[in-house]
Amino acid sequence: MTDRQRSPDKTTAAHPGLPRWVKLLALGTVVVVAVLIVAMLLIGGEHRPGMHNA
Amino acid sequence: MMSPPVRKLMLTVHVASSVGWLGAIAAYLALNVPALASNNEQNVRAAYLMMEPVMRYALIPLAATSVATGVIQALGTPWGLFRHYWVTISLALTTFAFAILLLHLPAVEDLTAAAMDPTADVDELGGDLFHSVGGLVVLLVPLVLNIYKPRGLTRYGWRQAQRRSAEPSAAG
Repeated sequence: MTDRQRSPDKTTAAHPGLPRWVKLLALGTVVVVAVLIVAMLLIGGEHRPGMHNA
Repeated sequence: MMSPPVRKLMLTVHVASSVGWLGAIAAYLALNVPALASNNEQNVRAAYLMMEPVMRYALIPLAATSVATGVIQALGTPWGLFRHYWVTISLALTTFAFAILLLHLPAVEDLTAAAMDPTADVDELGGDLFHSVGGLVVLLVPLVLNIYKPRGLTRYGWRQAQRRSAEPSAAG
């Protein structure tokens, strides 16, 4: 859904690093993946439809 | 770069297929309601029977179109595919969701096949709520990113922008 609503190429002298929203999104992803891994371990590591409703 | 009419056409197809993908997930999610909650065995079987066609003829084609037109849109505009974090993250998440969709198809075919067996106990099948809710949650992130377009150039995008801004002074 790209369009021309905003000028895409504003830069500073040095790369500013990861934006805060990217860090927050990465943190959220890590937490969700960790929860899923723990949940899968608790149900025996099986991965198929129906496994989550027992 | 794409011409403005082509760009508008691609954007229209991209928005339509992306929204359609979310809608197809909602339909798939809705099939889990009778599959998990109905006391009528025929309703439960019918819900499982519909999961495979919804996935094969709605979810997968719409997802493929959404990913393909997203890539074309990015490559054919100044946004690029790897210049901005929001574009790159959107690409990664939609590609991930599409891959899971394809990998999950055999399991859904098994569910449908089991529901077609009149001797099978459909209460044992347990629905497919996790994947439909998971898919919906994953796809809401690119939806928000595509609407808000949060700022942030990747290192690659930043280097490209630096080069471009240096070009006029080098020529002059």
